[in-house]
Amino acid sequence: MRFKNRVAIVTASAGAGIGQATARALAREGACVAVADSHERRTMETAESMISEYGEAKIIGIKCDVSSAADVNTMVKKTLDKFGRIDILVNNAGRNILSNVESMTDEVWNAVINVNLKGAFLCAKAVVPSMIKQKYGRIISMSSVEGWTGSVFGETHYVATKAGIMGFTKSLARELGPKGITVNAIAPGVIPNPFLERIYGPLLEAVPSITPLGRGGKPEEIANAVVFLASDEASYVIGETFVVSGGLYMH
Amino acid sequence: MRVKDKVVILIGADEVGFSLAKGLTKEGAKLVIGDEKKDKAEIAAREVNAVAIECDITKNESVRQIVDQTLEKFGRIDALVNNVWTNKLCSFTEMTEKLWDEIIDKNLTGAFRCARAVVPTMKKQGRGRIVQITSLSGLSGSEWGEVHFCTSQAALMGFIRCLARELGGSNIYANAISTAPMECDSYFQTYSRDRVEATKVFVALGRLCKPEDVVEPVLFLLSDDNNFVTGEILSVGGGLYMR
Repeated sequence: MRFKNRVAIVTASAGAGIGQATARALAREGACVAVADSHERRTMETAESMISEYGEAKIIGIKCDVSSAADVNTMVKKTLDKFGRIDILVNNAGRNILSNVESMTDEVWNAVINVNLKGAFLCAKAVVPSMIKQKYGRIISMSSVEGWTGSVFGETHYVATKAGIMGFTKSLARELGPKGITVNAIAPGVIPNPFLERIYGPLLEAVPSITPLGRGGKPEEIANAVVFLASDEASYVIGETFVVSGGLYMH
Repeated sequence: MRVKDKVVILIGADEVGFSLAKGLTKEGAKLVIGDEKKDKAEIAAREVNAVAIECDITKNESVRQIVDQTLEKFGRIDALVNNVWTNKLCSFTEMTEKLWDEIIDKNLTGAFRCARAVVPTMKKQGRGRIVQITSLSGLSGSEWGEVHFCTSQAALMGFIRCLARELGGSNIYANAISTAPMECDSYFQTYSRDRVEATKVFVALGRLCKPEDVVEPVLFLLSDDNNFVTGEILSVGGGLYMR
């Protein structure tokens, strides 16, 4: 039980992907978990299912659109009201809407920037005062190997945000490291889930042939990396973007 | 004359922009200089015999105008060099959403607005070069209270890589330069001279980056000497940060 008495917030944790797998992995290791997601019904269903497993005292479901400062502040307040502290923030919320650069509208660009980049900023900003007070905190944000590789599918906005998360992570690490807070990122390769299948469709079929491990990753395999970075075993890891890609991209 | 008769739009007429303007025109470029402060663009343009246009990259109409006026005057656009940056130091705990938005909008979304505006012309021509000036702090991070700025610089590097991949098939190259702290007033005003000077000890070459140091690397990336370099973040950092 690596997270006994620890409290975690995981954003976008009510879908079928990395977020929920991470919320469950943290709970399994004893953490109290705030299941935060912009989809209200799924948030409550996921929270209920986790409550039945870990008990009402350990889980809370909170509807939260991370691009809204008001939502983020409510999320943090509700978490503090229920659990009294926040040790771990997992910035998992992400959006993508494919569009070639010359036909990309301001709305599409901003929608992706606001969730993927500003959302990470707003969530970190809202939890950091508690972490500073505790002299302890772990902030882990989802980047992507695409931040290095780019993409031909029309996602200059998404790639910019994923590379941006790496810079955000390093800079935040330098500012908050002296206060006992570690900040890291994870760059997953391709982790097939309904969200990705909707966006990329048949493009995903090429993944096994270009990945040394011969397959896409499972959400749980990313969750394991989050658990490591959130745990005391990673006490000297900071400012790092940890690649978990089955060898798809070797940095 | 490495960029002879190439039509280049250069936005951001600070000391680096000024040096670039000199280098580009010396090598034969037909240059359009944009800056949100028209007089800054004009001073540079007068010096090097270029066209000055007021350009605020936070506004689509303004970006549209510099592109339209360039096309009107020269009929084509061979290269875009975006040298616009803004920064206001602020510790993370004090950083407001408004300040975050301001820095991201100008540094990152501004670059997107410029690229979006020139790409259709470059595609039509079957050739184009985009160079983005960025800061090494996007790769190294910083403890000076610039999480917003460093995020924008790292994001620009991803943006450039993605542009390179998306547009490579159209013979459009996209690269970035990443610089060490600069020996120039706009840097000293932003960070304080003492602070900037103190970084020298971490630079392998033992000195700050001069605006002129950026010129040759940009000329190379824009010229026909560059056949196969795209998606690259070329450090002009004197060994400050080695990847």
